[in-house]
Amino acid sequence: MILDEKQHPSPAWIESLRRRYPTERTVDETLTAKMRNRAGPRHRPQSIDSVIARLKQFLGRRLSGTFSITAFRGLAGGSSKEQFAFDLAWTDSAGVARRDTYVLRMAPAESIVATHALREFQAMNAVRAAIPVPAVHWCDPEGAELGQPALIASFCEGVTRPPREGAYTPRQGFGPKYRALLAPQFVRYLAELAKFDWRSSDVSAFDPPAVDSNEGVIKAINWWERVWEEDCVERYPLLTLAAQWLRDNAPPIDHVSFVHRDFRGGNFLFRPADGKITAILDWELVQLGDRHEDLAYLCSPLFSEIDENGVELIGGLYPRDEFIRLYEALSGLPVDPVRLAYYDVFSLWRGSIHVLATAPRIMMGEKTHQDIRVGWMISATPLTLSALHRALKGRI
Amino acid sequence: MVPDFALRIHAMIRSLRDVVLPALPKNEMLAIDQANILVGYLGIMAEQHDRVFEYLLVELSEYAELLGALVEDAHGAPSIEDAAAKARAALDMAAPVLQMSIPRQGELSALIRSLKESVDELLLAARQDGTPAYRQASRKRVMQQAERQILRERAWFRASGFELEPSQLPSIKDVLLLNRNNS
Repeated sequence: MILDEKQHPSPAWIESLRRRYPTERTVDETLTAKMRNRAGPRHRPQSIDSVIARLKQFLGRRLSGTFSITAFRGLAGGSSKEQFAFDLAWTDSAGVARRDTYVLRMAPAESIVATHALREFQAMNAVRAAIPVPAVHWCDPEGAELGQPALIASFCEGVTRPPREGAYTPRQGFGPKYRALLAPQFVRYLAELAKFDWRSSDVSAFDPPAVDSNEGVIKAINWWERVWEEDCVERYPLLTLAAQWLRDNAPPIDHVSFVHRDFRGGNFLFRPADGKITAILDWELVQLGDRHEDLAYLCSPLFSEIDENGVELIGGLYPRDEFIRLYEALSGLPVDPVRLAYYDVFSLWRGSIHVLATAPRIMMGEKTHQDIRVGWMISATPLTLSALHRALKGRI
Repeated sequence: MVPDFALRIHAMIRSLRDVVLPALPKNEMLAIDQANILVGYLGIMAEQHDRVFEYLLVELSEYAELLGALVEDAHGAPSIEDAAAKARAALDMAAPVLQMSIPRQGELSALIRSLKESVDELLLAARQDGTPAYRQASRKRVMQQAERQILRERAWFRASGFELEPSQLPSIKDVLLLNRNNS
């Protein structure tokens, strides 16, 4: 196992990276905290009793009257945050006795993506008006009260994959029945997200990019290039070429949207009975940026499926051209093939950084509860790299 | 190679120890017993895996020494002469390997990391100060090498199930041979 000096970063090195890769304020805060804590203790499974004790204190400061927490349990799924569900019996401000189920999402010491809980919290709050998103109630962005950065949201019923038996396989598609039910809702919600007007929402955790400028794109490149420098175990020259190309070709943003950055199958819940999408999940990577990034990300071969007729479906849902045509019609926003091609490279480059740099880095430090899963995700890297190579070929 | 085997084995041990074992019902004695054996097994593999080749080389060297000594004293009956002739042939086959200087897996990985680092530095320098022709040529070479590396990596991880059409990929053996023949 490679153990290098990045496991014990010096303050001077951390500062040099901050200067070299200027990015959004809260992104900088998160990455700086990650690096300052890197030499700290490894992740250990939390005692449920201690999480409940902190949670009781946290809620006690926010709820008036008596309350009780029951059925506290760990949840599976997700590669980054530790998730728990619990039932809360409490009395609301109108004096009505309530019993609701909530999800507590907590950041481990380091995860496959280091993100700021307040960004996730604000974006979910904002876009709830337009698309189904779990209601978010409380946030502890620094982990000052809950021990780790965390947010608490309403629990939503639903599944991420159609019910099925048998061994795990990464390519568990939706199948024709659920595809027909889910695809129209999925494209509609992605289009709603792109056209959502965020300007009257609280977005204080974001630095909104200027329209007709590529400044926001450069900040995003800095974000992920900084992560690469912080985490990479060994160099991969194709990624260096990709970063150079992205800087040289960064397009101005024509319309600033919330960009989810992980909008795909597996990150939404639906009811198995009727296929209704009940919640879009995993908002941790959200930023204000160019809608083409979400589209390009979805086009990754990692999320494709070959249907019964041998046609490749992006996101396992639609042929690419059909998806884009529907998206344009529903969002009222054009899809520019040049920008889409740019964000193809961007998304594949970013995805490669998660798995080639951050995944082995956090495994080395035993920083997460999901070592085994992020290690498994590394097996998908060659497919992403192959698509990145294809996207760059002829452009470099 | 990312991730290396030690990292993967270590993650499996952590998963078994921190997640699976504590979740097993106390009365599932067989499952608990076997999960604990798995932890032990993986621990042994973590210690052994990058020394396997070295271990075999030591064994080869020791047996060559033993056999050499036995052959020197082997005279007399035809059966002894026959066996000694076969032993000399076996020693002749082993000799070139014994004369090679073969690096340890860790040393090899460190060398590769250092070459990758140097490629990166040259790419960055070329972008900063290189002529357009040198920049272009460097990029082209990196793209060509990346194509071979990615094919090798896809074959290496073919069994993970992430590939859309895994049957279209060469086997690990074929892709390693292909790369060796090209270099």
